[in-house]
Amino acid sequence: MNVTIKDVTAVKKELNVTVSQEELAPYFDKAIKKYQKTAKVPGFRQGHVPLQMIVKMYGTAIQYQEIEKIAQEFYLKAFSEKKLEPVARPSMRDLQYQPGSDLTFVVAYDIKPEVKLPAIKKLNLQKINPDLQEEDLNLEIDYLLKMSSKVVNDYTGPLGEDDFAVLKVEELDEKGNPTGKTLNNKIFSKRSQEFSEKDQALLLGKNTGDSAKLTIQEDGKDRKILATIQSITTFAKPDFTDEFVKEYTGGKFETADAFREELKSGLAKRLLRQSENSLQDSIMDELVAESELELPESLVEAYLDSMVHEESHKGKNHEAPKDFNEAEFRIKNRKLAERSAKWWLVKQELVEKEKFEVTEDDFNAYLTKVSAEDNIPVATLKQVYSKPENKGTIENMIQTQKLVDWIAGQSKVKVVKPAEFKLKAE
Amino acid sequence: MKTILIKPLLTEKLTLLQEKQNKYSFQVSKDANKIEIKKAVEEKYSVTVTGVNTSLKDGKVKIQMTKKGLLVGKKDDLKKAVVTLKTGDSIDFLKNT
Repeated sequence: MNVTIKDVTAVKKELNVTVSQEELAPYFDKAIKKYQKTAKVPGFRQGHVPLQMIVKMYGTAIQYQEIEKIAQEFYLKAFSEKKLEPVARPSMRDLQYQPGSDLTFVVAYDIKPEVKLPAIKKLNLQKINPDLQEEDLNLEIDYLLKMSSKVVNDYTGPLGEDDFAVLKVEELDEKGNPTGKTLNNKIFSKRSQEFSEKDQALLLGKNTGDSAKLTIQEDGKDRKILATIQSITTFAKPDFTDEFVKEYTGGKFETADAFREELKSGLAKRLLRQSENSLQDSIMDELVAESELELPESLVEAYLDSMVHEESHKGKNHEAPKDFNEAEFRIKNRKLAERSAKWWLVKQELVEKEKFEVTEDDFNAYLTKVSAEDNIPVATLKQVYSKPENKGTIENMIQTQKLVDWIAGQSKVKVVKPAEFKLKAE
Repeated sequence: MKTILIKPLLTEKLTLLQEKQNKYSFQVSKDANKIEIKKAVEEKYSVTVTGVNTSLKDGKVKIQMTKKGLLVGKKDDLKKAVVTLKTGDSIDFLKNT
C-alpha cells in the first residue's frame, strides 16, 4: 500500500492511497469463498459449486461489490500506520478500480487546528445572582395560587386582565351607527390576538351589560362593531393560608409558614443551580467568542449529523416528525453546530494544556454528591455508571466542572439579575 | 444446417466426471449420431474426441389438476452425449461468461 499525504489547508488534509493487485487478492479470495457457500446454480447443491466456476461466473461482480469494503479497511490501516488522528469521520472519494489493476482512492480528513486561547484573566464573565430575593419567593407563591384558582362563572365585573368574557357583537356602519345586523359572539381574553391593545383597554374594567365600540380585523379589513359584555368568567385566587396549604399539600404541611420555608429552600436550590449553569454558559460563550482557530468542516458536519439523528427520532415510535425537513434543519442549526464544535476544540486545548484529569476519587466524590442530593444509594449509582458510555458522560461533566472552577477562580465574575444575563452568542 | 450441440451440461456429478475422467457432457439434437457429435465437438472446441456415449431420456410427464379435470403434458425428450477427450485436451465452458 502506497500512501501520500497532501496538505489542502492547515487543518484539511488528503490521503492518496494506492493498493496493489497482490494486496487485494486475499480479500477477493475470501469474498469468493464466502459467496461460494450461498451461491445457487442449477445442477449443483448449495455450497457445492466449484470455486473456479464461481470465479468465472461471478468473480468480476464480486470484486466490484467488495472493493468499497476493502478500501474502507485499507484506509483505516493507512491512518493507523501513519498515526493520523482525524478530528471527525474522514470521507472517501475518487475510488478507482478495474479488475486486474491497482485500487486507488482519496480520503479527505481534518486534523485538530491550532487553538489560540484568550487571556483567561481578561474574560468578561457573569453569572446569575444565586441569593434568593423575597420578591422571587412571593412571585413563586403567587404563581402557585394562580394555578390553584377556582373558576367563577357568574361574575359581573369589572373585567380583569386574567378574565374571559363572552361578547355579543353588532355591526356598525362607517359613521359608528348600528346597522341592525348581529354577528357571531366573540370570546375576549387578554392573551387573544384578536383585539388590539386599544380595544382591550376599552373593554377592561367594564361590567356585564356594558358596551364598547371596537374595530376588529376581518379578512385583512377593519370592521367596526359594538361589543356588549354578556358574561364574565373570572378566577378566584385563594389566600395563602394554613387551610389552603393543608389542602394543597394533602396534609404534608400544616402551616403556611412551614410550606413557605419548603418553597424557599427548593427555590434557593434551583437558583443556585441556575447560577452555576449561567457561569458555565458565560465561560463557554466567552471562550468560544475570544478564541481563534480554523474550524474543521468535518467536525461541524459531525455535530450537525448528531443533531439531525436526534431530531429525526423525536416523532412517534422514534420516527422523524411529519414536518421534519433535514435540509432546512441543517441550515437553521449550523451556527449552533459551529459553536459546539468550537467549544469542544477549545475545551480539549485547555484540558490538555492545564492537564485536568478525572481521578477515581473525583468520580466517587461526584457519586456521593448526587447520592445526597437525589437520595439514591451510592451502590445503585455505581452500578448505573459502571458502563463505559455512562462513566464517560460523568467524567466529561466532572472535567467541565474542573475547568469552570479553574477559570472562575482567576477571573472576575460579575453577578447579575436573571433578566440582565445575556450571552454574546445570543 | 442442423444444430448438433444444443448446450453443454453442467452439474455437480458431470463436473466430477470432467475433472476425473476428462469427459464432457452436452445436450444434443435428438437425431444427431455419434459421428456427427464427435465432429461438432472437435470443430467447436478444437480438441480431439476419443469416445462418444449417448443416452436418450424421456421427458417428464407432468400432471395438473384443474376444474375441467386432469391436464396431462410432457416435457421434451432429451438426448445427452458424454464425450471423452484425448488426455491433455480440455474445454472451458465458462470462457466467455
